[in-house]
Amino acid sequence: MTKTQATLGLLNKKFLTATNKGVHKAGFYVVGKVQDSIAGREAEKTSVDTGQFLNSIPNDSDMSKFLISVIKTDLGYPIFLELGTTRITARPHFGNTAAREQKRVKEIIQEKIGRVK
Amino acid sequence: MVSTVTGSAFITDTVLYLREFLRSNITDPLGRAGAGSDFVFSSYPKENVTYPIITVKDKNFGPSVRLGMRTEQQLLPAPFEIRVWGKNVKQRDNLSQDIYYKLRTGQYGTGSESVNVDLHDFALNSMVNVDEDGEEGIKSKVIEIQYIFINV
Repeated sequence: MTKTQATLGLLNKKFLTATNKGVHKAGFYVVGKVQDSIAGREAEKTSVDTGQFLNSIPNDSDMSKFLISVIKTDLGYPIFLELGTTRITARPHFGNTAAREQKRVKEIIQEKIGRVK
Repeated sequence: MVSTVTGSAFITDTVLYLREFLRSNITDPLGRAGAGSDFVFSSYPKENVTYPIITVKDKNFGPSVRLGMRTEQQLLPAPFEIRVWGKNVKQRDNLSQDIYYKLRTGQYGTGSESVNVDLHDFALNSMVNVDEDGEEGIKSKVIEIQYIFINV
């Protein structure tokens, strides 16, 4: 019984570690896709003028957070691009990327979990 | 008023339903009424506008969920964006809270409530402020709501 518990505990730990790695790998992938969108390589209009916005999306997903990958910008004005204003139409780089890449994100995490033995 | 959201026109039907629901349930602070003087639109108007206004549009849909093997029926989470544009924060917030309240309490009943037109499980996903700079800047709030629609 104790041995089974220990085995299950170890397996659980391996699964969680793999899921965490998958989440961060998916984070890196989505960062690239958001940057592609900003650079005009997706359906949305290009939002590059000085490159400040494009370079403000950190390439490194925050590894310190367990099972969480944060893709963000600390600049103030991208919300106007994302949601639009009275003068400019929306360029939803984050929202559209999230919708487009949902399936791939799940696949990346599943691939990592599938390798646990 | 849209009597039921149909599977072949679920986006247009829902936008129309929401627009009409807001027109009949939200009081225009400026008391506008009738053709050409509306304050609920499907997209941001191209002509000059008098604030406040409300815009309704669809958001990114999916993914859908199959409702069993060998069935064509699907459950589809359907998010919509209702945006309130006002000249000041008070106008924006008063309308926004009223919209949420009316949609939340307009789900069940015997009239044109959302469940009766086949829009289920109303949820508020987010309310985000997007205020343009300066005192004259237009204050807006993006309200993302979601219904569950079952394609039958």
